[in-house]
Amino acid sequence: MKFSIQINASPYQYQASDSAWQFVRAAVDNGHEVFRVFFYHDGVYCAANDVSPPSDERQLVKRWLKLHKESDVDLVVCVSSAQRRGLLETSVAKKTGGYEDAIADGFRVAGLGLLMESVIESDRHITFGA
Amino acid sequence: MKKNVSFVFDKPLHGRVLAQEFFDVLLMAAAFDQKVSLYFMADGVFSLLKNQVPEMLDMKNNSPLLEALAIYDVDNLYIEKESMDDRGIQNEQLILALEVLSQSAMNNKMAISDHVFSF
Repeated sequence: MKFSIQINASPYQYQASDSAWQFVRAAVDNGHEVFRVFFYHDGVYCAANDVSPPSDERQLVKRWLKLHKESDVDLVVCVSSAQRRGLLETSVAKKTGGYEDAIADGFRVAGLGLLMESVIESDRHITFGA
Repeated sequence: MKKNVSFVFDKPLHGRVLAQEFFDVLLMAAAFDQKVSLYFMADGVFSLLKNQVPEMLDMKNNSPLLEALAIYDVDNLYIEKESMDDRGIQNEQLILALEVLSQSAMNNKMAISDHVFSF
C-alpha cells in the first residue's frame, strides 16, 4: 500500500511525530511505500537544524535523516508554516537563493501543493497530531 | 484523478489558531480540483455564526472566506442538526445557506470520503 504522512504537532509537546516516525519505519519494513512525509503546523519544528536536546533525549532530526538515508523517504517541510514560525531566512531575496539553513539537510522545503499531491497519489493519507 | 476530500470542522475557529493553516489546505484541495466537502459539527458549528468580530482580538476573520467558497467551486457544505439543536443555533443565524443533515445522514455522506482532514 502507498501511504503518505502528515505531521502537525510540535515534537516537544506531543508524541505525534514519534508515532509517525514509528509508523513510517514499520510501513517501510513491511514492504509498503511511503510516498512522502509532510511536516505542517508546528510539525515543522521536527526539521529545525539547530535543535540541541540533551543527549539522553531522542534526537529527532538525526532519526528522520537516518530513515531518509536508509529508505529514501521524501521529507517535505511546508514553506508557509516554516515562514510563520521563523524557521526560514528572513529576506525573500535570500529565500530564493539558499534559504534552507534553518532546516536540516535531507528535508526539503516546499508548498502545500506537495501535500495535495500526496493525498491524490496515495492509498492512505494519515495525519499525526491534531 | 479526483478524490473526495473532506474537511471536518468540529471545533470553533477561535481559541486555537490551527484553523488558519487548515483553511490553506482546504483551498489547496479546491485549487487541485478535488471534490471538496465541508462538515460542521459539535462546536465547529459556531464557525458559521453571523456577526463575528475576531478583529477585536487582532485575529483574522474567516467568515468572508467561508462565504466565498462557492467561487472555488466548493459547494458541498453540511451542518449537523443535532449540534445546532444542542447549541440553540437556528439556520437564520448562519452566514451561509448550507445543507442541514442528521448525525446519521452526515456519517453516511462522510463515509464516501477518500481522505478526511480535521484541525
